[in-house]
Order: sequence, then C-alpha cells, then structure tokens
Amino acid sequence: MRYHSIARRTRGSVGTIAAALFVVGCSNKILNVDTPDVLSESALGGSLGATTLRNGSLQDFTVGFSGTQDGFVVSTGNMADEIQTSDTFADRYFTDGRRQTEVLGGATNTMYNQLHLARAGLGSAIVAWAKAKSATITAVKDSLSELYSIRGFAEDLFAEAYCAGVPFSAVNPDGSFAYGTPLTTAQMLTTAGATIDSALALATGATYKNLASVAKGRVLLNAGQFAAAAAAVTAVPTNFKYLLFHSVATGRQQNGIFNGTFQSGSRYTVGTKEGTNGLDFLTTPADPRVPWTPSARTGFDGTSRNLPVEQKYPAQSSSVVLADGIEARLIEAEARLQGGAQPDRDAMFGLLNTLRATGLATAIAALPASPTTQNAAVDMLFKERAFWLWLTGHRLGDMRRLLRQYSRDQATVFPVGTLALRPSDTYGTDVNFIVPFPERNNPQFNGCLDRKP
Amino acid sequence: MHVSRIEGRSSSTGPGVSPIRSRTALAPVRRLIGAAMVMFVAGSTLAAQGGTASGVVTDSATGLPIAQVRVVVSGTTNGAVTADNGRYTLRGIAGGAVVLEFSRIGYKPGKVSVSIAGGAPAVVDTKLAQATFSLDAVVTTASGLQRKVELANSTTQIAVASQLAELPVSNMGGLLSGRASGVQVVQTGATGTGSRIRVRGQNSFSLTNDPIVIIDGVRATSTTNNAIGTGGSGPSRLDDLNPSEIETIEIVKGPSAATLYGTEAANGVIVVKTKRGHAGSTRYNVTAEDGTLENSARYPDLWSLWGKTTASPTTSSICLLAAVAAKTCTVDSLSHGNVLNTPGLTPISTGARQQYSLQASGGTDALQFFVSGQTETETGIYKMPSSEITRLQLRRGTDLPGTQLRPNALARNSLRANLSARLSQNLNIQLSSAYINSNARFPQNEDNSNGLMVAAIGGTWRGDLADAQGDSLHGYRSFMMGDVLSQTTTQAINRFLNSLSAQATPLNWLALRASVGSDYTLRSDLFLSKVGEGPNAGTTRTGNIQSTSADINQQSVDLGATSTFQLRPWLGSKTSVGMQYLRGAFGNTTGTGVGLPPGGVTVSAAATRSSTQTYSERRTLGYFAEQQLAFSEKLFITGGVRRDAASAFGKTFNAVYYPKFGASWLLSEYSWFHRPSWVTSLRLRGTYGASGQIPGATDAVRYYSANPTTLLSGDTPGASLGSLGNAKLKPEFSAETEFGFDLNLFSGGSNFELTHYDKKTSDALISRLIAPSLAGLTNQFVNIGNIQNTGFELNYNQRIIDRRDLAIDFVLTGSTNKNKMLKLGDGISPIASGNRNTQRNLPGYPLYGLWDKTIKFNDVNGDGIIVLSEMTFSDTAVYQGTTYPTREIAFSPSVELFNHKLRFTSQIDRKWGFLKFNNTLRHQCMNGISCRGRYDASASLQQQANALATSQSVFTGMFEDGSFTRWREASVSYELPATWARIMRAQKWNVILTGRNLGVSTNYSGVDPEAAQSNNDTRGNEEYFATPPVRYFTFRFNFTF
Repeated sequence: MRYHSIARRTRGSVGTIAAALFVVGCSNKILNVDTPDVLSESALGGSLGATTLRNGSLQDFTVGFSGTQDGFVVSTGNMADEIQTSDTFADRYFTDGRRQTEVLGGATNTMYNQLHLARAGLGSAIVAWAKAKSATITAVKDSLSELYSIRGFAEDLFAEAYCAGVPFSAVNPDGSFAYGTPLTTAQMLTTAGATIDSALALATGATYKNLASVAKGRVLLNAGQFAAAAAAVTAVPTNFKYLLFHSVATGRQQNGIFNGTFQSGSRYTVGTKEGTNGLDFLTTPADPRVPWTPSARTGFDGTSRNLPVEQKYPAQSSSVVLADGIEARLIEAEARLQGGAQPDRDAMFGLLNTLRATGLATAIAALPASPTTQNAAVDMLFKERAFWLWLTGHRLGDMRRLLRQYSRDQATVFPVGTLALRPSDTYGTDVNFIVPFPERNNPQFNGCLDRKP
Repeated sequence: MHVSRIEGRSSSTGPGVSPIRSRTALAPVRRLIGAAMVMFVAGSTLAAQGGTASGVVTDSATGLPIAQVRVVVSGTTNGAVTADNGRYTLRGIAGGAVVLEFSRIGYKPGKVSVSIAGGAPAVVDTKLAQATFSLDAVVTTASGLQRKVELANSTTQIAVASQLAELPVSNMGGLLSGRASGVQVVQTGATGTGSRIRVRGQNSFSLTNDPIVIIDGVRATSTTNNAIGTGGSGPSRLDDLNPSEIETIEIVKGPSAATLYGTEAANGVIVVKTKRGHAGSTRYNVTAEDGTLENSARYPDLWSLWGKTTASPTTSSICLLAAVAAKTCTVDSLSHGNVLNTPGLTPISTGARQQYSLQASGGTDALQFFVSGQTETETGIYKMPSSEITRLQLRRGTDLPGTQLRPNALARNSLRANLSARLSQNLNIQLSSAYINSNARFPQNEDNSNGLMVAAIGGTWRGDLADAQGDSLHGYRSFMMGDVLSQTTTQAINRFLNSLSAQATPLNWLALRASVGSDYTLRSDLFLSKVGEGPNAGTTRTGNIQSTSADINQQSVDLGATSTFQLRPWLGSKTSVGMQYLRGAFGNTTGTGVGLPPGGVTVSAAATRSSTQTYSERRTLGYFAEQQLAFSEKLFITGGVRRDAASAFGKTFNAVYYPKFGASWLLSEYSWFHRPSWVTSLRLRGTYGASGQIPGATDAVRYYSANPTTLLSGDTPGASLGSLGNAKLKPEFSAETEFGFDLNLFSGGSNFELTHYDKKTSDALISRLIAPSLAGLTNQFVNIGNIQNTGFELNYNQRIIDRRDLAIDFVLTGSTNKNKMLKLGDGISPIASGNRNTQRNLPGYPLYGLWDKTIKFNDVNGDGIIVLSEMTFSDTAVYQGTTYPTREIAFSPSVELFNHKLRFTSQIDRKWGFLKFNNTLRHQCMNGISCRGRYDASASLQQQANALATSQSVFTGMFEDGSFTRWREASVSYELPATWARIMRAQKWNVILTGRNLGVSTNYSGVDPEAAQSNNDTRGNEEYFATPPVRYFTFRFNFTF
C-alpha cells in the first residue's frame, strides 16, 4: 500500500480545484440570456415607447370594460337585471344572485384587477406621454386629455360598481408600494372628477372635449349633482359617440359581451324581467334599442336552454359605446326631473321623446303620456336610460342610484326570489360588488367600509 | 512475482469470496516489486507505471461468468468492468502489494490481495456469492461512482433491466410505482398521459415539485405536467423514455443527497443509466407483446326525481328534494341511470396494446455496442359509441375517420445506439444516442365543458332533451358524444437525446470525467374540429384549428475530477471537484384559426387567423467540491459545498451555496461490537445537505407585456405592465437532515433500511398575492415561505426460501410524510388554490390542504329531507385534511420455481391518510344537478346535507377519505424448455403474462381514488371527470439469441 504525504495530497487536490475554478471564472457572460417574450422598461422609453404605453393602457381599459367575458358591462349587467348567468361557477352565479363573498375569486376578481390595471397603467402612460411628447402640439394635448378621461372613467366605474372602500394604490418608481387608503364612494367620485377636470383642461378637439364632458356628467350624476351634470354635457351633440374598438385578432381584443352572451355554451345570457323586478328588456317585437332574437342556444351549464341572443354586439369585432350624446341628453332629462313639478316632468318627457325621435336613424314611437307623479317619472326615466344604455355598463349604477338618490328599496329594484336559470338558488341582498379578498394584502384595507348603495 | 491470497478475512473480504487462484510470480519480478516499494517509501513522486491484473469472475453457486462486476485497485480509481464472459483486465497498477476489490449489484463484494510487478500479468480469478443486498453496491453520484457504504444517505437503485425481464411495464410511472419508499407515483389512466411523481412530499408551492432526470450523465427534460388543452392531464416527457433501454435507475431522494446536483435538485433526482454492450459475441434479444386495456371503475349513477309542481301541475318535471319538502312538488317517480352503462351510448370500450423490440449488444474489449429499436402502439379505452357512428355517418354521408372512432391512442418508436470504447489504457468514452418519435391522440376530457366524461355524466338524468341541432341527447349533457369526439387533439414528438461521456485516469490517484450532451424535443400539437363537426359551443362548429410547434432544448456540460489517496493505513481520502453548466430553452409558436372551409385542416385555410410566439431560457452554472475521508473502511465522513449562479436569479443576487456533511458508520465491523452471528452488517448513517429550486426565466424581471390594441385606425402595438419583478429573487433553499440505519441479517437474507428525513425549504418562492389596487397585478414572486416535510422510510427485503427448486422473497417499502407550511411572510394573506378555492395555504398547515366550512344539520321536522333551513355552516372555512397521502406502503412478493424458470411476482400497494376532493360529485350535486343526495329521500341525511351544501358553495361533504389498497400488478414468467427455444433458434425463450391495476379496495365513493384531474399539485388529487387507472393484461414473448 502507498501512503501519500500531506503535501502531495494538497498539491493534487488544489490543482484539480483550481482547474475547475478557472473554468468557472468566466461565469458571468455565460449566464446572460435573452428574454424576447417581455418588454423591458428601457425599451419603452422615448416617444414611441410612450405611444405604446398609451395604446396598451387604453386597451387595458377596453378589456376591463367590454373585453374578456367578465368585463364591466357583463359583470355589472349580471348583478343587475340585464344579464343572467348560465354558468356553473359560483363566482358568476353568486354575482347574479347578489350574494357575493370575498373569496369567490375568478370572475369576481377579473373586473377589479383589470380596472386597476387600466387605472394604474393610464397613470403611467400619462407620465410617459407628458415626458416624451411636446406639450405644445394640439394632438399631443388631446391624446393626453383622452388618457385622463379614460382614467377618470376607470375611477368612476369603481364608484358605480363597488362597495365603499376601494383603495387607489400605486407602485413607486423604485418598486416599493404606496398603499392607498379605502375610499368612500363619494371620494372615488371626487377623484374621478378631478382626473376628468385635467382632461377637460387639456382637450382641444371636439371629440376629446365631448368625451371628457360626458365623463364629467356621468361622475356628477353619480354624485347627485344633477344640475352640474347637465351643465357639463350641454355642449355634447346627440350624435357624438366615443367607441371602444374590438377585433378578432386576439382574445384580448375581442368583444367580451359577444363572447360572454352570444355564443352557444356561453356563460351568460341576456334576460328579461329577471327576478320579478327586472325590466322587460326582451320584447316582441324587439325594441330597436334592445335588439335580440330567440334561439335554441344552450348555456355553459348544460341546463339553461333556449337562451335568447342579444344582437347589439353580433360579432367579436363589434365596438362598444363608452360615452355618447344620447347619454348627455338623458343626463339633461334627469336634471330637469329634479325640479319635481309637473312642468319638470313634462319637460323630461319631452326630452325623452325628442331622443326617441332623433337618437336612432329610424325614430322610435313616442312615449304615450307624460308621467303625472314623480315616481312614475323616475320609472320612465330609468327605463328609458336602461333601454338606451342597454349593455353599456350603466344599469347597475342606475339601480344603485335609484336606491341612493331616489330612496327606492333594493327589494323593489333589484331581482328577488328564485334565480330563473338556477331554481335551487335564491337572490341575496347585495347591491354592489365586494372588494375581492386579494386586496386584503393591502395593509390599509380591512374589507368594504360598507355595502350601502 | 509473489502472490498473496486472503480468504475469509471478515473485516475486508466477504464470506462469499473465494479467490480460486492467483498465479504468476517469478522471483526476479518479486525483487523488482520490492525495489518499487522502497522507492515509494522513499517518497518518490513517480507512480508505478505498469502492472497488469486480469482474470475471470464467476458466480460461486452456478459457476457462470458474471458481467458488469466492478474491479478496482483499492485506494485508487483504477478500475475495470467485467465483460459478458466475466473477464476483466486492469492495467497501470502500481507495483507492489495491492488489493483488488470486486463489487456488483446483487453480489457480496470481495477483496483479493495480490502482488503486482511490471512483467507478466497477475491472474486473479474470483468467485462471488449472490447476496440480496450489499453495502458495496456501486451507485452513481454527482461526484462519480461510489460504493453505497461510503454514502451517508439512503439510496434507492432499481435494477430495471432485470426487473423488466420479469415484469414488463409500459411507462416510467409504472416502472417507479412502489419500487422505492418515499417515491409516490400517481398514475393517470388515459393512454399517453403521464404520472405525477413526488419524492419526499411537496417542497414548493409556486414552483414545480417534479424531480429532475439525468440520463447517462446529461440533464433531460422531464416535466410531468404537459397539459395540451384537453381539460386536464397531459403527457409526461419522462414517459417518452423506453423502459427496456434502461439498465438501472437510481433515485436521489432529498437535498441531503442531491446537494452536488445543485439548484433544481431539491425535489430529488432520477438518475437513469441506459444499457451498455459487453465484450463478447453479439447477443440479440427480441420481444413481442400483445395486450388489452379495460376500464376497471364503476361510475355512480345520475339521478332525477320527477313530479308535478305547483307551477307546472300537469306536466311532470324534475323536482329537487327541497321542493318535495316544501310540498310544492308531488312526486311521480325517481329514476337513475348512466349512459356509461348503456351499450350503444357509452364511449368506454376495450383498448389494445402491441409492442415489439429488438436489442443487440456485444463488442470487443476495446469497443462495445448496444443498439435497440422498439415500436409500440396502444389504443385507449375510449371509442365513438355505436349509435353515434350511425348518426354521424348518416349526417356526413361518409365513414368516420379512425381518429374519431378511437380518440385516445399512442404510437411510439424509439431507437438507441450506445457505444463504449476504451481509447487508451486510461481513457474510456461512452457515446449515447437515442431518437424517440411518438404520436399521441387525446379526447377532450376532465375539466372541459366540451369533454367526454362531462358529456357522459355531467348533465341531468333525463331523456327528453335535445341539443341545439335538435338531436335527442339520450342522457348526454349538452352535446352529442359523437360531436364531442369529433374534436381531435394530437401531439407528435421527435426527440433526440445525445451524450458523450469520458473517464480518464491520467494519474494513478486522479480520475477525470466529463459528460456533454443535449436533449432536444420538437413537439407538435394540433387541435382540429372541422367545419360542421364538434359540439355546438362557441365557434367550434364553424371549424377551429390550433397548431403549436414547440422546441424544448436542454444542454448540459458536466466536468469532474476525483483524487483518491490512502493517506494512512487506516485513512483514505477522496477529493472531488466538479462543474456543471445547464441551459434550458423553450420556444413555442402557435397558430390559431377560426372558420374553416369544408376540407380545410390547416391554419392557413381558416377565415380568421392569429398566432403567438414565446421563448424562454434559463442557464445555470455550478461547481462543487467534496471531501471524503474513510477511516479503516468503517467510518466514512463526507463534506462538500456547491455554488450555483443562474440567469433566473434577481439582479442583486449573485450565487447560492449549498453545503453538505454526512457520515456513514459501519458499526458491525468493529471488534467491540458484539455482533450476533445472525447479524451480517449494521450501518448507521446521517447527513445534512441542501439543494434548491430555481425561479422561472423571467420571474425576477420587471417587464411589460406586448399587448395589441384596437383603435379606430385598426390594430396597433401596445404594452402593459406584465410583472413587477423582484431584483432580490433567489432560489428556494431546501435543507435536509437524514438519519437511518441499514441492518443486514442472516447473511443477506433479510435487509432493513430505515430512514428519517426532515426537509425544510426556506426562502420558498411564493407567488404571493399582492393588492390588485397597486397595479392591477395579482402576484409577485418573493422568497417568503418556509415549508417542511418530515417522515420515515422503510425498505425491507426478505428472502424466505432460496433453493434451486423454490425461492420465495418479498420487498416491503413504506413511507410517511408530514407536510407543513411553517411561514408565509408578514402581512401575506393565506393563498387559495385548487378548484373552487377549496385549498388554503397558510402557516401551520400542509400545502394544498382542503379547507371549507363545517356542515351541521338536523332534520327538525323529521320528514327525512334536509333543507337549507335545517343546516348551519361555520362562519369561516376550517382545515379538513391534506390532499397528499401521508402514508404509503407497497408489498412485492415473488416466488420462483423449477430452478428459477417459473416466476410469480406481484405488488400490492396502499396509500392512506389523505382526503380526496370528489369534484365530479360536487359538479353533479351543484351544477348537473344529478346527484342522489338532491333527489332521493332515502339517501342518508348526511348525503343529503353534503349535496345540498354545494348549492351554498360549501364543498366539505365532497372531501372524502381517499385511502385505498390496490393490487397494482401481477406477473407470471416462465422460461420454456431449451428444446422449445432451439426450435426458434434461440438460446432462451420466456413467456410472460402480466396484469396491472387488477383491483382496488377503498371507501371512496367516486370513480377511483387515483383518478386525477391532472398531474399537477393543485388538482392532482382531485377527481373531476378523470380517467381512472386502466387495467392492463399483456402477454409477452422474450427471445434471446
């Protein structure tokens, strides 16, 4: 047997270790990899980057509003009386049944997350746009105004759909978190109003002025400032439309209202007279503002059959109205109603019939008679709003306003009783969306402040 | 030359070793050796250049030569392996007295002292005795080959080649199931789908828990969760491997053993060694296999209750029990049934399997080869129902394609060529090259509303419904089964595994090794639903197509060096260093089309087309050093460290260090240890080691995602924030302590190995929830969690009778596992997972544990019907139980008769101590609605309450005890008489009859306790319209020429 000296052993061992370390010495470069799937922040600097961020954040809002199959229009319509779910997932039918819980997840989270993505992204895009573009160019100012308006819409939609307590947080440039405090509904509306004021200040082109004006009018209406709301939209022509565009290119760009309600096996369906109190949207013949057809369509749940099909968005590429002159006229009509006297009701009646005569290419038959009571006038106005603004994300906010501003009871406004498509379930008492559970990772947030309308 | 012979020295020579002769030796040579010894003692640095030893190793019982015996000059790395004829030659042996060590799996080791001189070779012929177990077995480690006794951790080696000869398996899941304690395999049933393999529990919450796989020294793709959009389970890349090409599998279970494998090894390492040729005449092996597959499960009936309601007093309609209780329904009849039990409607049939292979091996002392070719086809149990064939043929006016008639099938071909060459006295190389081609076809199933089982048992039990095309559904849910099966999903694989390994011993004390290789997979997935075909959902019947081309590339370089010294008579030293470089890249391009013309079967033919492209890459560079000291060959102490840097770590995190330290103590070899005669050996072992798990390629990066935007002007580029990233992101760090003993009794007749492990994952990478109000994003990868897995493992092997005419033995493996999340950062809310958020992940409880509200009920009015007003639920969800089996045991007996020519083997395994989410029943109670508890007043009150609770999204009643005992496999192998073999011109002819999944005993009320929605951790233990394990019967001929 041979026994090696310590020195020799050491030489041998050190030699081999050193050889390995030498190989390792050039480790840095060998670990560099490309990440073509993602865009780095540095790639989005400059003017072109600002344009890209602007486009992305506008699309984020579109996705949150009328994209996916659980966007704002569909989800709020589901809690309201426009849409019913034909799905098997509790997150959707608990929304339909007005008994949401924080931990439902799924569709309940989708709208919340997407609206915040849009809100935060629009904020970043505004900063990037202002930094990269010349502030003296009119088109630049108009685009910046548009970004502010859409952000204002995002903030307003939180107020319309959610309970009090939604925080508006932010990620600081260094990556740290600036947690927002829970906002009351009024505070959300105030925030939205201020954002839209920035849009109004920047807008020069008619389209952008009108967009900001309708946004402002909608916020003020939600805040109960009817006269100010009417004043904000006075200059908006009836034929004005600001559209959110969709395309068939990718799922993200597709019209989610179509995807959610139109196709066989879809998770939602339009409804009528939902839960006793729901409006009779689906009339025969169809009201031109609520186009629909009967069908043998089946829902995703396999048990909902012969589901009606909405025809307002008949394609994945159908665009959706975010703001238009019709809404401006309806705001004016509602402001006029606040007078409370018969002349006010008659004036409102007149405005509504004018709209029926001019709002569409083909006039709709006039309303038969002016309401003689304030309650009847409110009913007429809100039904007209519901039909004119069908599937545009207004109905839940309006139903809440009926409770908040017109002292109606939720049991007479919202659907009640047994769910038509799920006979084993009954409606609860929610009148707004609960803030999803993940928000509890915000240390400032401890749940909804209240669930009041 | 002087030759010394040592026999029966208990401390260093096994009792079964009997050197039969050691010859040569001439006096002058002896003097030369003496001179050489003098030079060594004088401290010469010149190692002796030249002795040679050769000989033949034979089986002491049969006298037959033994191949693959490792012969090593003790205290050095100079070694050789015997050829098929048992011959070996060792060159370059330092002159003087040396000890040759002989070891081989299944044999007791031996040592022979011999004096070596530079002249004529010493001839050392040796006999080895068979042993059930041996601590001298050679196992593969990250630092090279080592004897088991030197390792401080438990090791599991599966002698695949010899086992497969007696018990054919069709995939890797079947090969690993029940063979090793602590290794749990959940096998899915559909043909072509993979198994979920977990080693010592679930370490990671947000990252994979798949073990890594190394084949012939090269890292291989092994993801077991490759869902391809069929609703759940998908193929496993591990199953691409042809088990019949494998010689051995070693399972490195935990971080304590896997330290030197570095980051990604925390979930264990499966080390695969493929077969090698042996010197000698070419030997051929031909197999032919034929078999059947059949459903082994019973599917519970669907129910409905018919009656007249107050709303519909003249027409019978379905009434829930609640309506009966409320007296708003007058019951007419209760009905139940199941289309799966209706011959013309069921999509379940009998499958078939064929497999043919040819292997050849042989070579010379300098060059050996092994080549293998195999083709196999398997048709799963699903088929187009006969009534649907008729309907669709009438409608289409043509025969249906085979892809729709049998929607689940697999065809796989594999080729392998392995070459081993001795290029010089000190340099060996091995070249391994394999090509795998497969085509698999899967039905839409599991969690898919357009799926097969959803159509069969996901709807209501009534016969009066029609689908949207007016076809009577006959009990199908929404779509006709023929339409469901008209959707075709296929996956084609072309995979190339190549490696080149080399071992060199430039100096007597230094061994170098290198492996370079790649595993390249080109995967093509295709979903096709032709125009006018498929279920009437969404745009499917307008014609849908999705074509994906993915390339998965793993490249690895592994370099190592080991120096071995005998520092003192009682002290040996082994120093190893190594370096590994790994590159994993994944590229994927998908084209999607909607709206196909008649005959259109390409994306290009579609009216609307879109495409996506992704690419990700990770690189890891690691190196390690390990020092082992051997004290009198009785106590082995090992320490080491590995350093890893990786592209996926955060910018501010450079590298991670994984230490290891362990000891193996052969207690029974000490004179002071009063060893009873029936104790053969007793070894204590204990080790500590760490390993890790790597983040995803872009988890650390703050980035934006390119998202197209639609404006008035059309589609245009856009970008939105995609991830907040985390510059501090580092790998998960899993540290493990392991203690145990190996007790060998009755000269190897009994062997116990008991191990306790305690594995803690710190800095666990958690995709934590963040407040959406920050940026609309919901998750961020952070190192915040601590997760613990503890348990015991037992391997017990017993040879009861060992005679030529009768041999009986059994193997018993068992393990326990206790999993717990120890920490989840401050202020982090519990993380929900699982379908319907039925799982919560929070400190103090196991990962993926089931949580929900407790259910209480009381039939207040005594009407025998539970209604909601008679039920109460806890305010919040409470812990119900773990989804991962906490205990498992497998019993594998074998009986051999007639001189080992007739062999019976079997395996029975049991898993218990866990809950299974019967999500199929949940669906049937909540959505279908078709479960008995909603309709049948004679159902137990508990059953009614559980069913009714689902309407409130309380699923506690759907969590069932998942314990089961399964007769996993049985096989009969018989070696036909030699005269029969000669008729076939073969040396040997075996016939083997094998059955798998032969029966199950369980209280689980669902389809099968192993039916799994998918093979991932969140839903891997949930039954959701899943295919249960399928029963196989195969008949195989093995010919050896």
